[in-house]
Amino acid sequence: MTRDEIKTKVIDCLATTGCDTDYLPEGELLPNLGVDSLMKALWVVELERRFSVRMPIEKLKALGTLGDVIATIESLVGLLK
Amino acid sequence: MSTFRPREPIYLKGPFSHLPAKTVDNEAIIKWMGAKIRSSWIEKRTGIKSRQWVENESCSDLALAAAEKLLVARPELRSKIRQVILGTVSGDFISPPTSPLLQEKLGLTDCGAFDVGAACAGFVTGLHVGGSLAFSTGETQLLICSEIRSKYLSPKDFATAVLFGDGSAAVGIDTDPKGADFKLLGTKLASDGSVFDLISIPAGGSKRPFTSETDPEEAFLKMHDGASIFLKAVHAMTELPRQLLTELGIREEDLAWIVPHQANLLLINEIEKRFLGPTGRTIETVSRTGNTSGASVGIALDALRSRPELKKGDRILLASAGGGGLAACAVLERC
Repeated sequence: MTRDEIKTKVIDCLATTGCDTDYLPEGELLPNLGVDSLMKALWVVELERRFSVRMPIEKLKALGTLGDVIATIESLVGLLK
Repeated sequence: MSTFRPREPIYLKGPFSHLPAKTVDNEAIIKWMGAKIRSSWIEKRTGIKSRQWVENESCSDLALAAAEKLLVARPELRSKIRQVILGTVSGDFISPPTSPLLQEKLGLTDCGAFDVGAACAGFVTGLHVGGSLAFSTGETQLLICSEIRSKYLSPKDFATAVLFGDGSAAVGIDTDPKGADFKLLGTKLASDGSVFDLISIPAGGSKRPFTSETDPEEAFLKMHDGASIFLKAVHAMTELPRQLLTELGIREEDLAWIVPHQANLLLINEIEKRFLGPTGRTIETVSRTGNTSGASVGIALDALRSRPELKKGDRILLASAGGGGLAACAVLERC
C-alpha cells in the first residue's frame, strides 16, 4: 500500500466520525479540525478495522495531527515505496 | 488470565433484573447540570435517551429487589442457596461488605456471603466465581450484581453525569438442569492494571480517606482520557472473547447473540461490527438504562431472555470491560 493510498483511506475513515471539513492539512492539530477525543477514538477503531491493525493504547495520545495518524498507520501496515 | 471451563454442566436460573423507578431523561440531566446544550447532543454522543436513578435506595435495596424477583420466579432455589455473591463497587458502606446485609434481608440462614468488586466486569466475573464454586462444591450460588452510580455523579462533570444509571440483576447458579435458562460453557477474566485509574473515585479509600480537607469533587466518579478508555474497552471486549471461543472450539459464526457491557451505544455498535454485524442480535439496553456498571450485562441478558427469537441451543457471548482495566467474558447456551 502506498502512502497516498493510506492517506486517502485515513481521510475516508475520518469522515465516518462526523468530521465534515475539507480543510485537512497534515500538520494542523486535530482539535482545530473539529476532531475531539471521542471522534478520535471512533476514527481509530474504524482505522483498525479497515487496515486490520491494532493501535497500541500508548500511541493514542501521540496522535496530535492528521500527519501523525497517517505515519502511525504507515508504521503498522508497512509502506510500499 | 483465568479461564473456567466446567467439566460438568453448570446452569443459570435467570437472570432477573430490577431498575429503580425514577426515570431521568436527557432534558432532566441538562437541567440538573445547568448546561446549555440540546438533549439530542447527549443521545448523539452516547445513544442514551434516559436512565433510571434511585431516590433513597441503597445498593442492598436494589440487590434485594432483583433477588426477590428471581426467588419468586424460581422458588425452589431459596432453600438450596449456600452462597450469596454480591458483585458491586457501590456497596452500602466502605466497610463492612454488603453481602451479609443482603443475606439477612433475604432471610437466608444457611449460607455464606461475600462481595466481588470488578466494576463494569462485575456480572461476568461473578459468573466466573459463582460457576467455579457451583462446580467445586455442587452447591447453589446466588449471584446478584447491584450498582448505584447516580450518587457518585457530579453535575460539574459532563463526561460521567450523562452516562451512568442504577440497576441490579440476580441469577442462580448450580448443577441442576431443571428450570435452567442457560448453560455456562466457559468464562475468562483478564486484568490490565496499567490503566487501573482511568475510571475512578479518587477519595474515600485507604489511599486518600475522607477528611475535612477533602475536595468534595474527589468523592465523585471521574473518567480520564475517554479515547483511551474506549479503545481499551474495544480491544478487551474483542480479543478476550476470541481467545475464549478458540479454547472452547466455538467459531464466531456459531454465535447467535452478543450481550456486551452497556457502556454507551458507540461501544456496543463497534462490538457489533467486530462480531455479528448488523443482524439485530447484539443486545442493547443502554438507551433506556444508561451505564449500570457491573449490573449492565445481567440486565441486558435478562432482556435477551425475554426475546421470542431466542431459541434452545443458541450460543451467546457475554463481553465486558471497564474500571480497573478489568475484562471478563463468557459463553452461554440457551437451555
